[in-house]
Amino acid sequence: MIQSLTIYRLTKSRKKRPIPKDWATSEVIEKFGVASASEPLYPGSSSIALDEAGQLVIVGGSDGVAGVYSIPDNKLQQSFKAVGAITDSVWYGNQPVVSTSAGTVKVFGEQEATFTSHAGNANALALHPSGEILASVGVDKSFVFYDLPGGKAVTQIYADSGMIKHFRIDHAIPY
Amino acid sequence: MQYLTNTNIELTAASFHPDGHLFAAGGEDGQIKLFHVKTGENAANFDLGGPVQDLTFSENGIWFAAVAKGSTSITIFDLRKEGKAAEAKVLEIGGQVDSIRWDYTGQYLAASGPGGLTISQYTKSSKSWSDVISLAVPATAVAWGPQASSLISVNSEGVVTVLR
Repeated sequence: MIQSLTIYRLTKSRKKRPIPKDWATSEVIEKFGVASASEPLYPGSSSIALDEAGQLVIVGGSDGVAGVYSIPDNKLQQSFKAVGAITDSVWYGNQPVVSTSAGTVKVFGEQEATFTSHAGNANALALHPSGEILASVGVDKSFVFYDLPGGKAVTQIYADSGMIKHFRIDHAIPY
Repeated sequence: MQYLTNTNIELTAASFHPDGHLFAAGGEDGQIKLFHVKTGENAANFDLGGPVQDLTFSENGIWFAAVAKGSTSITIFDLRKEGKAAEAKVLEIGGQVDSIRWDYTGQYLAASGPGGLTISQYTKSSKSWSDVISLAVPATAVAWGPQASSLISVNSEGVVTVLR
């Protein structure tokens, strides 16, 4: 299955992994300076997500508007409206995903989805290294795992009590 | 009239281990709890000592870095150890840190805050830490560009800055 291949890729010889030849050296990094700066896009921005190509950035502010900013073009490509302040963002492939202070987790783009598992703020997001499982944490003391290709919340776990709520028993996380 | 609301332990930060088996959630109570992704069971707990502002795993597979709200220092935890012994390193940054990100090689740790950006380097061969650069670019969040040849930041006005 794809899952076992992914695990192999992720765990294989992590300790002996060589530094890629084209990686920046400290001599390069110590010369970093401001190469470009955008207009003020969204007041209250507190998160940033860069796509794999290193060109598109998701930013969003306290008024619930998030956008995709293109670094090479130095301009906003798209913007999206969510409810509540944008608290965090990640890329799911080429689809922006944001969490909000209204407790929602929104996937924008061709397979749009809105998840409302949290009671109160959704504070942060994390994407599983497979790129397919999303996690959110909230003011309600819980974290939620989402199956992004399936467009479903899978599990909600309360960190203090260990209480687990399965949204779909038949769809256990394969990791 | 004031009520005691110290039982509030909202979760504030989240990150997956690069192997994909563990998930870390940081809370307002300063606890960083690790869970098995497959079962949701609690695997280990680490105490940061203050509300968890941000946390990031190193690709070396054994470390994660965490910072408390309003703190000027970053704590590097070793997953293989427990209690105080799990604190592999405390990095003094010199200014408040709001966001931390490790590059893919686990050499560089970028930290951002209202005072600016700092990049620290861990050198595996000498097992030592050094400061690479500090820039007076205030930022609420940072991300590494490809090959660590750039750093992208955003500030509280929503200005996206590219550093290279």
